[in-house]
Amino acid sequence: MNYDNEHLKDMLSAEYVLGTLRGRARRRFLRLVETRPEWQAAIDWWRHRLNLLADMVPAIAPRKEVWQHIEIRLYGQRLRSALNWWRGLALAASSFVVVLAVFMVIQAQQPASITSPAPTNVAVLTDTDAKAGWMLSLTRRSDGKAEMHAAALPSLQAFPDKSFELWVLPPDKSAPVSLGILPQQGKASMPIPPTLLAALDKGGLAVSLEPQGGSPTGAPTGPVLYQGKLAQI
Amino acid sequence: MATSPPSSPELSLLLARTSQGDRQAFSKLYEATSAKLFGLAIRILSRRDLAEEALQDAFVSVWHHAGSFNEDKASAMTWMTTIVRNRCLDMLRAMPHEHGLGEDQDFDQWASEDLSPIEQAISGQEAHVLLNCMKALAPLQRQAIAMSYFHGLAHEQLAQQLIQPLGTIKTWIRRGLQSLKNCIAKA
Repeated sequence: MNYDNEHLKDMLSAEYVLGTLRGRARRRFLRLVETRPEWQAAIDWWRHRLNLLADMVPAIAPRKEVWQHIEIRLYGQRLRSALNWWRGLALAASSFVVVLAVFMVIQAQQPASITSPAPTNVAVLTDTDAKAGWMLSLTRRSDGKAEMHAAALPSLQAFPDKSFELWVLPPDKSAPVSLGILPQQGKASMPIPPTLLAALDKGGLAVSLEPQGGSPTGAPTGPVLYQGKLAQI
Repeated sequence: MATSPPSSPELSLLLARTSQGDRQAFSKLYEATSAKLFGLAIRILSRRDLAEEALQDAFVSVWHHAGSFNEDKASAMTWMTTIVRNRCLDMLRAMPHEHGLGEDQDFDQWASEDLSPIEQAISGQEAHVLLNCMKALAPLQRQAIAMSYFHGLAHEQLAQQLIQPLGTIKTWIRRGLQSLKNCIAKA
């Protein structure tokens, strides 16, 4: 009986890893594994051995574009060319997000709107899965000064020991310029030098993950996790 | 690509650093493993474009899940191979049926008496042990196991492909795996 169990455990694990265990037999096996750690060990044993078959096929170097695509999918794109990427996305994106953003900004700012000017531009910063991280609104004052208000959205995935730094990507593809650190929850605002307003109008926005306090070099050092662009209200 | 394979501790370390968001480590990991894994993806999918897509998906997944890698349970290469193979088999299953087995798939090489072409591709010692143990199987038996591994074929599909009764296929696979187990344990 013991031998039988041992044998059964081995054979089911092997066929599970190989892929020939299907349907009800497979489901029953997975239930058995849950309560038997030694069965999991048998799966690990076979997984290690059978996957050695993969070492028996000739290695073929993938084109370098494959790696580039992986980087783009993971880090956004290298900031230098991020703008083009964003433009492509912006064209494809539905205007719904912007309309919603405008609505939300106006709602959120109503109590203050009596004393401060209304925002002129808004943006939603999203990651590659189109999940929103922040809503931004730009307010220009009559004295030429401008301020960016950022509100972290509930869907934002926080990184407690890191900082999210906001950059503007000038349309002339010159180096990104830091606008400041974004809040991981709640709201924050940052003054915008008038010299950057033109870049903000036409350029893109990117958020990189940086050491706490922001990039030590003045240029983005971590992955670009969110992107966006200001739209006029 | 006849470079010696990176050692397992080296890959484990790269995975550990990848799990902390280290892009350089991830890039090194890709450099060290992508050719072998791409070879696997092409073998399974038999189309370069699909293999590229599968490899990208797999590495994106490696980046996101590197933290769940546990070197006590699997070597880094086993872990990554599993991710690539699963992704490829998923894509294969999602394809129209007629694609199934590409005609250019040379599974016959597994049924050949001369396994030296397969042997030449091997980069690690452990795979040599497995191949030697496979040599002891009947040719059609090791072909059935290889087809199942590289194409995720179920017993029924194997029976069709190899023109054998279903019961025969089931017995072949089971006995084949049992022989492999005994042979590897002795090695």
